[in-house]
Amino acid sequence: MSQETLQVFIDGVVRYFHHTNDKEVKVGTPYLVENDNPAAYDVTGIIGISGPYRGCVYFTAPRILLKHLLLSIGELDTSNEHIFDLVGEVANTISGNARSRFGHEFMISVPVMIEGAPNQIHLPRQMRSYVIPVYWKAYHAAVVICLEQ
Amino acid sequence: MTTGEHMSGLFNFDFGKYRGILISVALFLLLDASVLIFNFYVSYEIADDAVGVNLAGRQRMLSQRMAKTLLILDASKDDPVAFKKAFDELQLSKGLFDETLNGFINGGQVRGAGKDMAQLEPVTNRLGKDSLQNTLQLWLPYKKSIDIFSESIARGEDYSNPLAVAVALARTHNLTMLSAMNDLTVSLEQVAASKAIRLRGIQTLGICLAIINFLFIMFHFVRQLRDSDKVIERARRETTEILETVNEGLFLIDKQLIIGGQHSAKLVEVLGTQQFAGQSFQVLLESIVSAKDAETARGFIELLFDPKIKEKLIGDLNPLNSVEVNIANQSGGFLTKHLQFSFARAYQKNEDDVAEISHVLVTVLDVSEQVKLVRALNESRKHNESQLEMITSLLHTHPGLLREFIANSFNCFNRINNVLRQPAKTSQAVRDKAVNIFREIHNFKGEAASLKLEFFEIAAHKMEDTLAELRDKPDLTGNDYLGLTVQLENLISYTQQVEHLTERLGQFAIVSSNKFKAAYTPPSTGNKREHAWDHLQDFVQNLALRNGKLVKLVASGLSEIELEANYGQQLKEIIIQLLRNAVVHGIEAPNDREMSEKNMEGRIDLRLAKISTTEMELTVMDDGAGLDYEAIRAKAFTSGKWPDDEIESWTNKHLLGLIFHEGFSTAKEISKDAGRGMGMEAVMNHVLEHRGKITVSSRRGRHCRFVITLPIITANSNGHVNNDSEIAA
Amino acid sequence: MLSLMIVDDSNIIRRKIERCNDSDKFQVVASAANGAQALQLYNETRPQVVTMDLTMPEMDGIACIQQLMAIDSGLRILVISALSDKATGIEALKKGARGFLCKPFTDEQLLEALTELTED
Repeated sequence: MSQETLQVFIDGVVRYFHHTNDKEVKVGTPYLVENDNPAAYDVTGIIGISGPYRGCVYFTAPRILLKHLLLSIGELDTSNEHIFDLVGEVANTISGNARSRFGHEFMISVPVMIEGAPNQIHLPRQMRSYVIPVYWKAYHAAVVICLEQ
Repeated sequence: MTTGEHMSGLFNFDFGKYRGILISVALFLLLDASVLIFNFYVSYEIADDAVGVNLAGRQRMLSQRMAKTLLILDASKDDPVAFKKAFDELQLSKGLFDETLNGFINGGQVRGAGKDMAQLEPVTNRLGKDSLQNTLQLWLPYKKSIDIFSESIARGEDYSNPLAVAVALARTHNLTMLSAMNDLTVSLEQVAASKAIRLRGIQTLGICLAIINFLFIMFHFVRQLRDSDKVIERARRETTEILETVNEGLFLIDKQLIIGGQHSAKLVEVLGTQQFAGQSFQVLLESIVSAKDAETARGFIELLFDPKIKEKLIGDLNPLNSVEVNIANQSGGFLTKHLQFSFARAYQKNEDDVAEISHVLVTVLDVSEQVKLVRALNESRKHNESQLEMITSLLHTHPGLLREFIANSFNCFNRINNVLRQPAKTSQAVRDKAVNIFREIHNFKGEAASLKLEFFEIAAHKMEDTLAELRDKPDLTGNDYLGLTVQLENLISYTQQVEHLTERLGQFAIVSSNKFKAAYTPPSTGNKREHAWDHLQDFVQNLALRNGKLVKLVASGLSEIELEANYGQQLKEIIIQLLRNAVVHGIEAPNDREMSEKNMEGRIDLRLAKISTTEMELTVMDDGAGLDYEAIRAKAFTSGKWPDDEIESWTNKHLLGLIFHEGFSTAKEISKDAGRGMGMEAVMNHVLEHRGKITVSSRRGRHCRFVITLPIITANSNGHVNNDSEIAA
Repeated sequence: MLSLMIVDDSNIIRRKIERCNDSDKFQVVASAANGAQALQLYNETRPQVVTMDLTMPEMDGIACIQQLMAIDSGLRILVISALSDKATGIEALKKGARGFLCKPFTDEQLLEALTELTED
């Protein structure tokens, strides 16, 4: 998978955080994880990708970060429902960015929100995923990209 | 087309099917019409009969009136006014009676009740005829007597006698004539009544026939309808059965690319659960294939609707002959399938009986399995080719060494990945990662080079390039490491492939070595680890060749000391770095050596010796140019890290320390073998880690010697061995 | 016997198509290497059937079909081209060509296609 492809997804997340009041978002050094031990925080928004590359990309974050993020965009109701919506929105931003960059070549699904880590349906076991840590305020979140050619 | 033609066409069209019903309806109408005509006819007759009955009644009345007036005339001979009135009355009654009687007997015009004339037919029934005949016999003399009486009045003669005759006749015939006229009336009434009865009978019969006809039509028509319904139902059932069972997705589309009302059950399976009927095929396609393919498909289908174009000659242009589709599923992923769409024209006869292209039949077949098979075949061929390439390079490497190398590689990759994984929020922490990773990858490269595993060496070198860029980049962020992570991933994948291959080769080796064991026993080397160092010779020769040097490596004592595996690995890294240093920086080019009257082939002495039970000493010495202190000083100047006057004041010893400094190299350009200035720093780190000691001695133009003292750490000794994570941290 | 004009910039293809002279159905009356030449030869020889390449110098196949159609909309044109771009092939047929034959082709395939093209 090319660096450019990965960058598109990272840009998607950064773009989302740039819409918040606190734009200080940092991207950590990307690393690899084996899919039999996927990396995830509390809530995860997954988008499926198909086309020249296929697999999935997900944004995962701890609840506390999401609550803080909700507050920072002026949403005082930090119920689970809102948290899921928020993760969905981040995932949508990622997929929207990917869509505008890849055009029709790629098929990108609507996001699916889950708690914890994605299961095998999304992550082929024998593969590795790229984890791109995202630091926002004092919290850690991550974009995880698992695509095969 | 004119209306007439159209009409005849309409009648011609399928006349056979409707013939029965048409005849029945025509018969029904005919029957109704004839009953109606008969009804009219009889009604008129009955009306005529009524006139007859009335006139017959009048005759009755007239006979009485005549008798009455005669009696009045007889009684009023002295009253001329009353006489005159009675006389006129008698004339009128006589005329009417006579006229009517004649009318009944011979037929003809008769004065009716008013001034209008009534037509009388001659009476034909027996009773009527008889009574008329009787009346006529009586009437003729009666009439005559009245006529004589009238004539005598007209002549002014004495009328007493003729009147007496007439009155006498009136008295005699009056009752007989009355009864005869009565008979006539009754007879005429009977005729009329019998006609009315006949009319009712015929009407009843007509209605009965009409009802029978209607029932026949109903029965026939209903049966025909039911039969044709049955045929339609059977056809529909067959169609449904076909659509339920065919193994392909089948449906029709019209010119506007709208999908028809029916489709095969398989279609739902092939294209996922969606509504098809009435949908646009174009929209359906756009949701599963690229917009370009969907557009091309639309153009292709339009061609099919153009009757000028030969269907058989455009099959090659079908853009959906084998197309990859991506169908979104509920879990947010995509189901990728390979589908084959075929298109065929469907014709329908128009009004002029000419077949026109009405629809296009679309057949969809899921060919994922076939495509997968073809792909797997290609993949395996490609894979085999690349494996062959890999095998050739791996076959030159000792399997044991290779396994060790692979194990080390994975350790190294893990350490690198761990470095990447550590959260680093300050830019300095991010920058430090590049330095740490560089050290790892540099060692890896050295080892790969020593085994002549060129692919690994090149990959590592490229990663070093990336790291060098990162190190020099201002405002370094985590994102900048993305390229490096991708390189690491690729290297891991490649290594996994090599590992896989090695395992298979290893099995092969076991089989073949078992085979040859009985026949051939290799000469004992006295030490099982001997081979682990063999590759150093290759490494040096390789390195020398690449750098245009002639070098002889004289090694001793390497296999004498058993070391713990990790520690042995570190020692190897040190040796490789020092050997590389010696070949690249120490030994001069053959020409230069010749000029300085040295042997064209340089010599490197590598010696490992136990100096006590706990300590060993590693010596690497080359007979090259020795350390070039001025070159080091010049490099220090250009690095800009220190003030110039400070550098000026540095002693050789201080300058020597610089070669162990991070990022310091005197090589003129960066190559695979030197120039990064990381290697010596790594050596220093290893030595410091184990509280060892490095001594460097050099003589310009003669030699350079590194002596390193290190503890002996064996697998079962309790000596401390730093584990991976500590190194990485 | 139907008169045939070949339009193709490749010598080899032209010679290959000329071989249908051997059948008693077609008679090659003109051979053009590009669209412009084809138009000129068409006016001189008035063939009944044309085989048309799509990618040619000077004037490409699509433009040539368009011009030929303007002269005689009943002319039967068979497009003979490689399959690299189906959309272009479809466009050529929309402009008035009636059939498409994919390169490479055998003599039998060509003859069959020409026969199908000229039926009815």
